Parts: sequence; structure tokens; C-alpha cells
Amino acid sequence: MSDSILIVHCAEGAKKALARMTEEGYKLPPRFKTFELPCTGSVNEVLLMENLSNGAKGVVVLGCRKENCKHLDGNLKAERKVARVKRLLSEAGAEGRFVEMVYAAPDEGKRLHETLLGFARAGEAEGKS
Amino acid sequence: MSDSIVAVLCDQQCSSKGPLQAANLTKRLAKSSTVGKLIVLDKACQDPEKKLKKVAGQKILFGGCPYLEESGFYSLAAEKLGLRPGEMLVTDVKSSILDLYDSSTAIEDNLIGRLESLGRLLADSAGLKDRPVKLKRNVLIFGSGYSGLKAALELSGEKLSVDLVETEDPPLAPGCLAEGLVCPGLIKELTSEVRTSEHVAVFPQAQMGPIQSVEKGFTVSFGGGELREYGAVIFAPERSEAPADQIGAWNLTQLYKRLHERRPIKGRIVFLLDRRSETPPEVIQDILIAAKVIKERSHAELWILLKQMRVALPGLQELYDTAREMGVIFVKYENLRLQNEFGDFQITGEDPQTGASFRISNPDRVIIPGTSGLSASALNAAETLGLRLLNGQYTQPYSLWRLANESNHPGVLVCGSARGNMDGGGVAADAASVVQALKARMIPEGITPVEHIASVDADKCVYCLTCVRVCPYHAMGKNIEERVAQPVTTACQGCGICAAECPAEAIDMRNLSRETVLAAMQAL
Repeated sequence: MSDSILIVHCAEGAKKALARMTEEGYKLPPRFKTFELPCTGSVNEVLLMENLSNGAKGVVVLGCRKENCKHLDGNLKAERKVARVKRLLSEAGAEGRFVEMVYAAPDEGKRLHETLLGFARAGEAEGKS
Repeated sequence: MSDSIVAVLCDQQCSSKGPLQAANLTKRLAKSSTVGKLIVLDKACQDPEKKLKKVAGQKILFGGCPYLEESGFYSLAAEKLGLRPGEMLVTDVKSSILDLYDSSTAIEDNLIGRLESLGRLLADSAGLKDRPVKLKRNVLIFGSGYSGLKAALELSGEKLSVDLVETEDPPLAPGCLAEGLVCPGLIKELTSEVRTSEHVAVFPQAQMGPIQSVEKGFTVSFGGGELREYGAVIFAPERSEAPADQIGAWNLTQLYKRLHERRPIKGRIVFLLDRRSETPPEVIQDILIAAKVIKERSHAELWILLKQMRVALPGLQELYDTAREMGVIFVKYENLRLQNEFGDFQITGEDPQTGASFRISNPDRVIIPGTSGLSASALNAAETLGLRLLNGQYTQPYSLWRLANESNHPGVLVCGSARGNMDGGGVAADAASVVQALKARMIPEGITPVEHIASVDADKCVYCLTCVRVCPYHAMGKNIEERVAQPVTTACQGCGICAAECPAEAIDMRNLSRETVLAAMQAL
């Protein structure tokens, strides 16, 4: 699983956004893996850190648009946890590993694709330097 | 966003609430992402066929006053536009349900909220399907008032097993209102019909044990007997009225009770309306009916003091006229003072239109409508069921008028006047719509039960109640005796937020424990 980027997405808007992205013909490189959870609110720090320590390059938490969460504010709860892990990573000096929170609506296939590829490119650039 | 949804707003500003800022509403609704297109029909109830020609679309959302239904507008619309159920939703721009809110922006917010929720329901009718859990075909009805009895009778024809809990103080009439004076035997008739029905079992409330939430249902035992299982609960509790705030004054319940018991009401009677907040038209309707009955029975001198005459209910204007003909004195007031000097009780005030002051000396009885909420036994039952209340009742801003109002528990539907002021017709319609919604839920096809459900490891739980705070569905309860969190399995929607937030890692989601998730992630 090394060098892979794990996308943890919710089963609602984010899942639809990913499906839309594929439908529109935007493909992700094979290093992207996706994993579905009922809500991004069910992600916690341990889960994110475990994945990074198991060798993932980065974890992208992909949730519904803000104020659009089926479970009220699961995506905002996830954002807070992502921010905490980010801080931990920078404090620990874990360069080259990242966590990001991304919000996507079901009609944002193209934007989502660009954002995700952006993470991959940023990761590569960091790796080279 | 969804072009197919057309919102149609009636612009006939005849509601007693005055202009409901139709222009503002139109502006704000036009910005809403839920509604694709907005059409404002001016006076939709007049020449509806012509007006309906303006409206074309696959799914339609109507907002209008109660007169629209009275005039058959909606059924005509369904017929003319060929709309099937679910392709048209209707909401009333009705003052009574807005009475909870004082400021006009709150009223607007509420209305926009309701219209938008309706729009979302229309837009995402596919999304609605996966939410409800499959309900077992036995139903518990709490409440033996008009709505409870109506619901029981509607359901008994459906070959379901129905248990009805009779409340301790059986109501006198639809919603314990004066309407019962016009049709005195109604509740008795319905009760005997329910009792003789072979599909309905009746239990007294005194025998009812606590309602336990079990997976996909509820259990209750009566009189210590065996546990009875239910898939759904119709919560049709009584409303009760708080005592009048003035010493010696009656509230409406006290008045209606006396009238039902045919005890005499004589002398100078003063009804004091709009005292704290506006009196809803349904309540005014009741008061006028009661006034009529009092006048028919005795030579009482009746005064009705109000700030504004509201007519936003079919037939209310006629009732005003009849009452006036019978000699009831209506006075609009401002600067009202109640004085008690030297044993003399005085009500003085001014008429805002003429500026003339008036004085009523020594009335024999002052009647002030109290604020109404749920009765104590209903509140207890609501607590057992873990229902969420707003302002002490169930008229939630997003509870949709004319749509069955599901509580925060799947399978528990709130019904009848507990949702707000309704007249008898409204209560009957509400009971019917709740029954319709329940029947739809009981169809086994196309319904996927929630896959993941939270469970708490009692040994690990430190009773910090983080889960109780974070659960968006109020599905996490407390076991106070054992000091552990206890999930309400019927309400759990399996989002996993509680498990992620639990600092003690005491919550496990079925099929979604951290080990399972991590192993699955590794296997990718």
C-alpha cells in the first residue's frame, strides 16, 4: 500500500461525486484507492494515523459539501479531526505524508478530479525535492 | 438545481395575518437551490382552470391558504396536470401554524424552510426510500382522542394488529374543543366502534409499562403481562391547556368542561383574547361556537375582547356574524388594564380605531385562553419514547403541514392536535395522512434496513455522554442506573459518528468496527 493515496469517502454526496467523476470520463491513477464509510464523521484520528503509518502516502477525507451532510455535521466533525492530524504531522515533521479534507457535491466531477490530481502532483513534487 | 420542481405560491393576501410579505417570499424562494422555477399565481382560487394553465412541470410544489383546498384547487390541479401522488406537494401558508413565531422574519424563515424541505422531498424521492426501516405489521396507538381513534379505525381495515392505549382522562371532543358541543356523541360513538373492532385491542394507560426500544421496533407490557411487540407507534397524545394567568379566571378547558356537563353559565362573561400572543383562528372558532351555545342556553351577557379579528378559517366569518346577531359584543382593544379596587373589578381599555375608551365592571367570569402544550402523561410517554420536542410541542419548523410528521425515531409518528392547533377536520386529515405514511412504510419491497447499528460496551463506557451530545439523531440514550450510554436501536441511522467521537472506544458499529475497517483498508 506504499505510495498509495487513500480516499475515505462517505456513502452519500461524496460517493455520488466520485461516481459522477467516473461517469464523466475522468479517471484516477491506480495509486488512488477508495474506501466507503457511512459518513465522514465516523473517521477519527487513530484511523487516519494508522493508515499513514501503514505506508499510505496520504489520506483524503472526502465528504459532502458543508451544510449538506445527511448526518447533520459529520463532515465538519471530520474536518476538525483532519486538522488535528495535520497539526500532529507537522509537529512530528512527517514530510511527504499528508491528510486533506475535501468537500464535493454530486455534480462536481471535474473539480473533484482536478483537486485529487493536485494532491498527487504536490506529493510528487515534494518527493523529488 | 432541479428544473423539474415548480413552486407555485398563491399571492392572494387574504390571510388575517395580513400580507405574508409575498414579495419577500418570492424573492427568497427564487434564490433557493431546491426550487427550479417559481410561479406566483394571483388569487389562485378564482378561476383556477385558467390559472393552472400557467403551471407546467413534472413535479409541483404548492403554497397557498386553506381556502385553496376548500375550493378544490389542489384536486383540480392534480387532475388537470395529470400529477400522480408524490409529484405534487402542498403546504398551507396558514397563520395558525406560524403562531409560534412572533417576528415576521421568523414566519418567513419557517415558510421558506417548509417549502424547501418539501422541495427536497420531491427532488430526492429516491433518497427517501433507503431511510425508513422496515416496520412490523403491528401498531401501538398512544391516545384515545379523536386523532387516535380515527387512526385506529383507519388501520383496523388494513388487517394489521392495532393496540390502543386509552388515556386517563378521555377527551370530550375532537381535541377537547367546543366542536364537541355541536356533535356531542362523536367521541363516544368512535370509542364504541373501536372497542368492538376485532383488529383493535384497547388497554388503559394505567396498565401501560415503559416503552422499550428494541431492534426494529418497540415492546410494551400491559399490567405486567407479556411483552407486546410493535413495529410502529402513532403518538396521538392530548393537548392540555395551562391555567389562565389571572386569578379567578377560567381557561378554555374549564369553560368547555362546564358546557359539556350542561352546568349553567350566567351573568356577564368576558373572553379576553390575544392577551400574551395572538389567539389562533382555530381557537377563535371554538370560542365562537362556545359563545353560541352559551347564548342558546342562557341570557348571559357576552363580551369578546380581541386585538384583531382573524378570519383565516373557512366559515369563521359566518360564525362572527351569527354571534353578533345573537348579541355577543365584540370589542377591539388596546392598553387593556385589569383593576381590582375596593372590591370592584374593572376592565378598561381603548378601541384603537375609534379611540373611545370602554369599561366593563364586575364581570361574573373572565375567560382567558391559556397556552397549550402536552399533558403531563403525554410528556411522560414522549420521554419514554425519546421524542424531541420543540417549544413543548411537535410543531417543528420543518414538520410539514399535511405531511405525516415522523419524529426523530423511525416508526414513531406524531399525530393530531399535539402538532399544533387544528380543528376537527384538520385532525381527521392528519390521522389519515399518518396512516397512509405508515402503510407505505410497511411495504417490504424497496426498503433497506440500516446496516450498521451502534452498540455500547458497558465495561469500557465511562459515561462521559460524548455520544449523547454528538448523535445527530438523538439516538443515544442514557441508562442512568447503570451509568452507561444506551443506543436507541430504532433511531440509530448507523452514521458511526458516536463511535468515532467516543474517547473510551466503547462504541462498536456492527460490521464497522475499527479492526474490520483497518483490515479492509489494508486489503485495498
